[in-house]
Amino acid sequence: MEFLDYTVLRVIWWALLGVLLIGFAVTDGFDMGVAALLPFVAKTDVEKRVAINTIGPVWEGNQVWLILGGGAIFAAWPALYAVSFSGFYFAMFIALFALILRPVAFKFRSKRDCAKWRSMWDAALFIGGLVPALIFGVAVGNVLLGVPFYFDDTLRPFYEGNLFGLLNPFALATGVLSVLMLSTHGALWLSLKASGQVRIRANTIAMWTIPLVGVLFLVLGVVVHLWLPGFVITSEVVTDGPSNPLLKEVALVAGGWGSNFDTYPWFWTAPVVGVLGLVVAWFAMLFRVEWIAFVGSKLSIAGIITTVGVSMFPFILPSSQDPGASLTVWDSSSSELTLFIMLIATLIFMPLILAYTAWVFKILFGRVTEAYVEDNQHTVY
Amino acid sequence: MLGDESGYSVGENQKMKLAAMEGMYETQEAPASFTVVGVPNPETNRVDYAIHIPYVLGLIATRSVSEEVPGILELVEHAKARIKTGIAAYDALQTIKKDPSNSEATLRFDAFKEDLGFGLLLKQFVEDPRDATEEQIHQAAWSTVPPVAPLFWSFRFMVALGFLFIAMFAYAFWLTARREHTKNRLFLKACLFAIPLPWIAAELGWFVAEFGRQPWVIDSVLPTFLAVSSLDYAEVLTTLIGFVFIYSTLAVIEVGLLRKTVLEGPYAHPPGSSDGASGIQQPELVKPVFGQSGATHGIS
Repeated sequence: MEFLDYTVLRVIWWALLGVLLIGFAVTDGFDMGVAALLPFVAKTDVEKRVAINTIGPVWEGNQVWLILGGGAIFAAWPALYAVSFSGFYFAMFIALFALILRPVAFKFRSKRDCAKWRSMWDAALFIGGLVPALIFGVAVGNVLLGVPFYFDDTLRPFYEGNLFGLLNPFALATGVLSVLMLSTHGALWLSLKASGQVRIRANTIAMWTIPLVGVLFLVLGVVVHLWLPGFVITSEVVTDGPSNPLLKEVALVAGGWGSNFDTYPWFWTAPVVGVLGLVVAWFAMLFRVEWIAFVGSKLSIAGIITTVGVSMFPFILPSSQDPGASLTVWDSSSSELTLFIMLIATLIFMPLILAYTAWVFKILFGRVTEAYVEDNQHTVY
Repeated sequence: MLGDESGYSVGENQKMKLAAMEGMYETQEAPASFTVVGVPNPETNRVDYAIHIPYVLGLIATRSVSEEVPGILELVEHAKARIKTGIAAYDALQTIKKDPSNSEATLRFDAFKEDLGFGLLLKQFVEDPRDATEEQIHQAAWSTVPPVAPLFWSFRFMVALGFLFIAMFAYAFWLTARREHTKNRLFLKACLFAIPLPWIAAELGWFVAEFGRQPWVIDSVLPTFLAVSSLDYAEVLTTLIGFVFIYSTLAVIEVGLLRKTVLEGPYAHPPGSSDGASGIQQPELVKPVFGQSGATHGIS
């Protein structure tokens, strides 16, 4: 396996991390989106149950992608795990709190006939969809800005920021983009899987939010590409050296995040796909071909997330306090052996996961109707 | 079998944990005996009022009758020696950091790197381990000993509970085999009240595992105080309270829901419900999951 040297393994694992995060956004994205849209697409109890039952059987499998992403960070990028999971501590806690509410809300909601009980859990579902979508968007914004941390002489990381530092205007804007993007995805899922009033409302919402996502993505993209201080490595780039972030020098350049697009023009495919996906989705909705619209949304999410990844490459988590301490692909990974073993494990298990997920979605083909919910009201969600 | 394997691997890799768990201050002649009960006395480094079972510990920990199980005092002497080598490893490491091409320092580091963790223990007492005094080395060596009494008693309670479960299951099997399992109401009540005990036993086991490994996070490699994040006490306390609050609330809601469901009884619709069917209820069969056509789908 000579071609799988340390450099290649690192790039593969950076790409895999991107794949896992895109997988998370494309799958758990629509069930967070549906949950966040719950008060807007469903007004009666049956309508709410229709919406919930489109995601009820699949949402837990979808959330596994988040676990996989977190696990990949833990195993392949331990420095990133250490700095970000402890650094973003309260933000993580809030996101966790919202995520903890989700399974309980799904399972408990319809177990009692009491209206107050059900609306309490509907609110919990709404929080469980909206808050993580917002927080993950805010996290991405902060990663682009850089967060304040440094390493001491024993290479222990020290994070110097707090929760309010994370809630700055740029990060809040990316948070809003994330919420809009995932709500659009959820609305398109509902137009594909729901029926009746829920479907009609979802269609309307999608027609409005798709262009909003496009505009916000373009605006933020221009801001990042031309104006936001981006990080650039100024010392010699050693790609197969030991994982020690302190061995390099880094400079902050206005519009620095755009420099990769000059070096590798084919990176432009990512934002182009991001926007084209939205265009396809909008026109497909105009002609009521919902499945094409949903595919368009998936492509757009993949494109948007890939744009962030390739803009930042090789940076993974820049440090605003000590730019030289920033975590990059070349100096924050696990050892070569670890990455290799994990790659083998992934190559075995990822196809299995994709296969059974595809099978589950095939089995669940078809719309959820109000009649079905009413006939089975003691067994469905 | 898992327990035996666990005991053997602790005897191999985490000798201090085993010694502390057993309250074994002095190294005994092989095969070591197992202390059933006693009062560990950290002042005199002895276990007072001890009751021993001969040979058992040696067999469990080393699977032999001739290999010694080292006691706490012997292990502290080992630790002292390793700390001194650890200081040399730390010194070599600092040299390499300043000048990565220094091959003499690299060789020296390679020779001593196994004990770097022990050298790092000194950082609790002094900024640079190379400046440590004899007193501090002595303190650091003793810091490798976790508090004995909590470990001693937790382990014994866990094992006692384990034997209790075996006895209860044996008795339950005996009763069931004789078709008398509904007759002994006292035993049935005891079984009900014994429900939290396996959880307690598991928690005691975790306590022994984690507390017994202190001061290490990775035994003999990474001390805990060097492995923690830069979060401060208030942050950790806040989220701990937060989690306790969230899960307690959810537990209360869940138990309330469970109780309400249990009180409703096992039939799908209570007799005389508004669903229409009246009189004697047939238990409603669960609908087949994939019975419908492609127009709708079932829920697991």
